Amino acid sequence: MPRFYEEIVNGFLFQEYDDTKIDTLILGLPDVGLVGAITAIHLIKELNMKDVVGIDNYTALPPVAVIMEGKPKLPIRIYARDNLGVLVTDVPLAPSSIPLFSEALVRYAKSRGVKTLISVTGLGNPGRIEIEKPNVYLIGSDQDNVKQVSEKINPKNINQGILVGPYAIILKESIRLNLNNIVLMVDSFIDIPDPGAAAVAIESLNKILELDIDVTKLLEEEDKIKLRLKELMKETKNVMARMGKTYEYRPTLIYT
Amino acid sequence: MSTQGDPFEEMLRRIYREFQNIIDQIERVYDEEALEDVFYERTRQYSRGSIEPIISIMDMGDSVRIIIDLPGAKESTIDVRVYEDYIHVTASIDERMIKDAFPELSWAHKIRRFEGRYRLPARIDVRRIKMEKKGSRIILTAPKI
Repeated sequence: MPRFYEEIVNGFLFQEYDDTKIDTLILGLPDVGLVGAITAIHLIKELNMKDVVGIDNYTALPPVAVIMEGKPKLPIRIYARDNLGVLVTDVPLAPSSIPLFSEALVRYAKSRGVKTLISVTGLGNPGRIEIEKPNVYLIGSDQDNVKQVSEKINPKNINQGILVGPYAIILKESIRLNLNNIVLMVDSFIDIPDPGAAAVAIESLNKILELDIDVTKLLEEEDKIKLRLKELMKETKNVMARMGKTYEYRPTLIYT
Repeated sequence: MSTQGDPFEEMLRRIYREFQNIIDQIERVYDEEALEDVFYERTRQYSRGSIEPIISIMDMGDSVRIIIDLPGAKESTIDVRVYEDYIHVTASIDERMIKDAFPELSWAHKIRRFEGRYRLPARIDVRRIKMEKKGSRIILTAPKI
């Protein structure tokens, strides 16, 4: 692919293929219930997005080249359309590379003029099987923005807790660099791919970004998606256990 | 108070950096070992024409809850055997579903069934087990012994 621009941050190569400008970047990293990843894949397909940025690191990521429609691609990619970007990865990030990647991503986004990062993830709920319509939760780097977004999606309150993983570092680094980051969480299965939770996340994104993305196909193809993503879920489960995801299931030190 | 230029502080920073490098290297070895396990497990299964079910086992205190997800399984072939300390699951998979889910992977088309055996986190009372089915998911709840 012809390179338009290249930047290396923390050893991660960000390779842009054209001059597409992204204002809002949705992050679909593999995490609890693969909610972010399933959401991202559905957005890319429904909005017919094209890949505009490839991300790689020859030592921190497995040595892979992803082949799509006969063309080699980098393992982490940003797809875009109309100033909206969506980040996906074909390989789960190893726990040792999560801090450097998360920091690099925020620094790159800031330097390229991205205004808002939206992290989409599942909030592992052991009682998910009994929940027909999963709840949405919201936290963010800017409390005024969280208030504005809350008015649109009416999330359930989350006053205390511990966020673990790449989204935690992305949130902290966004605060440090004064970049708007909202973290959209949906009740989900912990270690089972959860297209139902992803559908709820997409409905919230529809309201936040004034999109009109249909989730019918996502729910109709639930079995196919789960089968296709089951191995990524297994790899992600290993990573979650090793990056201390269990901290999310214990109370904070100080409480009110 | 600035500590810039303080040789003792600089020495501590260097020690910390070295220590961090060692920790990073140890973590990478663990990452590689975990991937190695996944690699051997997958190749063993695929060569037998099976894939593992999607499974979630939760210790709920007095009971154990097991969610077995079998997307694309032929209902009449689902066989779940529960023992005191492990379960064994098999089911045939709809051929069309495999082709639909993995159209680009010719080797995947030879996969015919789900198969998996899982150790439980505690011994359970198999006589008092409760079973429920929701879509492609089977939910088993059993009290601990």
